[in-house]
Amino acid sequence: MALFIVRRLFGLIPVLLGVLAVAFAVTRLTPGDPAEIMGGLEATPEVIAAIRIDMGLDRPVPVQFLIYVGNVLQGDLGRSFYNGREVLGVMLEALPRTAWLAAVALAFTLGLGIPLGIVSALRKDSWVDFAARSFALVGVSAPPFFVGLLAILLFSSYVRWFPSYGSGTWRHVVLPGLALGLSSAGLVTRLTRSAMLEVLNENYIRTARAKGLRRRTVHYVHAFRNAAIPIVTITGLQLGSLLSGAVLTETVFAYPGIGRLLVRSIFERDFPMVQGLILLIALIYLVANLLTDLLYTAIDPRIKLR
Amino acid sequence: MTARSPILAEIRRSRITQAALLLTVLYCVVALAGPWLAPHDPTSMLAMPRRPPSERFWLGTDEIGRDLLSRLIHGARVAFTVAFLATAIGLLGGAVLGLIAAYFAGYIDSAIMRTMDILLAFPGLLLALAIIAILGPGLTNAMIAIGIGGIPEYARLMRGEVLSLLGRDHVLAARAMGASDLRVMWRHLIPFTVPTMLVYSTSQLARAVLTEAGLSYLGLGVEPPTASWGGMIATGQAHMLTTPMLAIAPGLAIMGLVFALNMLGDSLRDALDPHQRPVVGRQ
Amino acid sequence: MTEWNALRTGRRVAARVGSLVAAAVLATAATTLHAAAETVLRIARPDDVRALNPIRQANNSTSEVTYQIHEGLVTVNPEQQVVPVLATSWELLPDGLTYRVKLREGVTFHSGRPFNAEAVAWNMNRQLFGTPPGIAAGLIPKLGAVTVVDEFTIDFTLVKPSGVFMAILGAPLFMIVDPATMEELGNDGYDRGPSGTGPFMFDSWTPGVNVQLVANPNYWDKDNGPGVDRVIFEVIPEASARAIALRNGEVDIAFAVAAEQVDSFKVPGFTVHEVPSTRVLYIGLNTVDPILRDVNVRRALAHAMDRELIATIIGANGARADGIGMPSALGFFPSARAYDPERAKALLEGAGWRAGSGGIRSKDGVPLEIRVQTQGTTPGEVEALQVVQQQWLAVGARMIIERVEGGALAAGLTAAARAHTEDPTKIPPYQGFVLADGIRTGEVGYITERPKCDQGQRGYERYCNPDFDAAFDLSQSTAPIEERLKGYKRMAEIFEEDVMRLPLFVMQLNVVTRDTVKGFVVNPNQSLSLRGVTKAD
Repeated sequence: MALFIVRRLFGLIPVLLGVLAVAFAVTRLTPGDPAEIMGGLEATPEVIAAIRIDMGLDRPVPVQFLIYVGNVLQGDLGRSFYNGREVLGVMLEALPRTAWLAAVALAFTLGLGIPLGIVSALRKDSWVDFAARSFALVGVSAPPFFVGLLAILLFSSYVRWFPSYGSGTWRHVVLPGLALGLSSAGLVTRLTRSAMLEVLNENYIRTARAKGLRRRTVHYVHAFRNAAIPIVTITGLQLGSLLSGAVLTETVFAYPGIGRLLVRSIFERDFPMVQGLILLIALIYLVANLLTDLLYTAIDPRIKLR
Repeated sequence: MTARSPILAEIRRSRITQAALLLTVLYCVVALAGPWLAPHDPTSMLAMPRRPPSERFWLGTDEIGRDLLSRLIHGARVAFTVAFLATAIGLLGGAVLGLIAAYFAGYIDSAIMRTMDILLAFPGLLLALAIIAILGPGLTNAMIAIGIGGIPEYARLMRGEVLSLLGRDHVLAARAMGASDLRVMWRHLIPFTVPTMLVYSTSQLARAVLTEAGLSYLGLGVEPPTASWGGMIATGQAHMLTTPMLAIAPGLAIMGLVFALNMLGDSLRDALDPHQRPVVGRQ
Repeated sequence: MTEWNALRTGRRVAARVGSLVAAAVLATAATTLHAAAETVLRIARPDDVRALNPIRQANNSTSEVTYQIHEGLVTVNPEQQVVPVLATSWELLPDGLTYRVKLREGVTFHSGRPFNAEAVAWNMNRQLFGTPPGIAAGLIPKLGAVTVVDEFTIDFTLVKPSGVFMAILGAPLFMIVDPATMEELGNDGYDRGPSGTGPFMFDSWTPGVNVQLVANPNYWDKDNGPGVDRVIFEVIPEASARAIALRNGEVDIAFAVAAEQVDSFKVPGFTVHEVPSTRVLYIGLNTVDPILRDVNVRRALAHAMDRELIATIIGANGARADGIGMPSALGFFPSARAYDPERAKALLEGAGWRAGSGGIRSKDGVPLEIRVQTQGTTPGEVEALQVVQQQWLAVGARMIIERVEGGALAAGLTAAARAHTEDPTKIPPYQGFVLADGIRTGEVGYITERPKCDQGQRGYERYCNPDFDAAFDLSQSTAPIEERLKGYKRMAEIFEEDVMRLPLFVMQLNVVTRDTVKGFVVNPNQSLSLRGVTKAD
């Protein structure tokens, strides 16, 4: 197991280097001169030239990249072009907020998706099944920013239960979490349902039933344990779509997490910030996938470690 | 192309599939016949801004006095154009790369698949965002960005399909008889992958529609005065308290199309491989 | 022994519990007292500050905050007059070049260090000659010398006479920072603890969330100082969200309230401030572009625009623009051309542009297409452009709207203008560009310098006319006001004649306050003063 983890971690290195290169290339190939942006419309050529030297933008691009990689390895992600703050610090300030949002969304995803999926499978072709499947499809088909907008209109403007913007308390996370989690909840419902149906038809369940085990024991213990594997997998993979969904959801709710920070930084052409965020998000995503794999092997001992 | 019949059978059998197909076709018709269907020019200012629905303007007018319904109809064209072309980019790019990787194996395989791994390290919309940051916003660039984002999944799928085909008798026979690589690919590999790739494309279409809407919502997609659903929601959001229709109508339009495409994709997948799990198009 | 121990332990525990309880009671009391005493003013704005270092950044959203922490020597009040702040008086010495400024005595920075002429000299040198130079460097007229006369007197000696020098210092660009703090924290670190002389002191900044300031108990002006204990500048980018937050009582003041939501606040409990700003939005034209170099094409495009209709469509987002500037500013004369589509068509016919396919005119096979670059961020901007787009179409010209991100727009214009300055054969590829220029000194001259010949990469219009330069110099001279106004009038005539800029609309500032907020005044030039603003509970 340990060897497996180590091997997987080593496997991440080339991917991370690739991600770093992509992030760097992306931010340097874009039009727009950061020195001009720093200076603003009212800056003179001298001001802009001085800023350019100050920021190291006068060095050749490959040199800038090598310097960047070296700095990243030392934990130095540079400073924001906009206000000179440490990129790492700004990201770490925003990350817990997105983590909270993702946690709420994930709780919503699993708390709603799994029970709905199980019930849907057990009562196949009933009205419950139909309702659950419709909910799942609608959830999956709704753009998160549109759900967020409707949620604001309904819960902040009309009934005024939740604040419409910002962060800080649990009440701030409810609506964005709901908007973000809805689509994943739909997906998990569908997945749970089909996984359960598949398992329920397999021989050992029939055997268990034949042996006279109580129906409930059969369903919850045997069937769900086996259906859990794909659910764990898809939940792990959900983190990626939660992260991209967060870009939109956080924009709608003006929620100051890493998604909105990324959009803002792209619009501001804040190269070091965009680079840092791309690196951070890719890292989170890769680690989440790794953990998913590990969990997956832990649940199902039949799966051999490669 | 024996795989076709189960798809037709599924369509004949399932009401839901029929409904999904009908809805999709309806959207297609609206998109294709848009200029003739739309009651007004989608970019002309015809009345005062934000008028309520009336006989002349069925859904009212938008923030500068254009007919909302006509803009909604023209938005369907944009959605379909982006979705089809982006999916085509992903399908062709991914299929070619996956085919090459599986067929030639070895270093070529690792090189291609490692590159795909790097692309896969950027979840969904983020890759599109990064690409748009390079290319700049706009309809074409949004299409390319979404298309590239779809390549790795197609490549993996194609690689898997081809690897399973390579051991089959007819392929082994063709290779033993000295058929050229291109001929083997063209005659003995590609045709057999078509059904799977096409079915997967249905959910990719849904994903592309959602991603385009997301990009346009962020202001990185289609530019004015062209109507795009995501962009309409973004401008409508500012008027949400006074004229909610401006945001809700395009939002429902997106949901309807994605819903139809997802349902269709699901049904087709069931028909093709009842054991495969649903994978729907999302952002 | 054991009993003794037990007793001791018991006592110790009791003592600890007792002190804990006491501490808790005290803490609760302190919190209650604190909560009861502290008045918090929450202001919702669409943008965050870019930095708290005023030498580095001074765009509107930034200076609204930094101008509470720092002050200038003078400021421009809501009536657009230059009034003293850290200066008490000033005079132009007989040489016609030297401004002698008397400074306020007994003022201290938030750090506790004294404010004096040395500090002002340090700030001016840092702005003009620092690496990098400050944001005000491009606007302050060339200085020959900065001389400290005595502790509270400083001389600024100009290279060329200027009648607007003090007014330029009144823009929220030249703010006095505490030199020692800046040297201690550095250009990058200054954001952690800015120190000025203003009515509010820095407390915290959470980027993208809010900036919190607290009242300065030692503020020099006891009669007109901080009226609340804490000010929180909340960042709420979305207009609807700002309106909801204000209505739900989450904030006390909302800036940039969307036009159609303004009316919903004209009810008891709220005060709506609708103030025409000193910021005018215009389409600048590249006067060396192959199509636009023909002045008759530019005139035709001007005649094709209905500025009245723009104002109607955008509603409370803005008012009709009749030229570069607005009637409230010193030196404003109308320069926009009347809406006259027939005249526009005739001018285009006369210039050789014939009606072609799809209603678009063409000349020698070239269609009459004008690309207009825009950031599209000002409320009403995209709407206004789309109105013009339709109106140009009606006379046979197509406008292609290109949305460009703010920094990229300025960068692209600057790079192309620089290339053309260095090599006149390199015609800049851009055609039209939308910019919003705000007058921050009360005088139109603040925003009409760019078309001058000597502006180099900043002269985006690529215009050069010695007549215009002479008029501008006259307007900025130390001559009597009647003479300077002649310069301004001549500039307006040239704007009308040569059409380098097409005014779109004058931005309107829509601010809504809850009625608990008293003493809040919106300054048309968007410089914010919270002195004397109070909040009742």
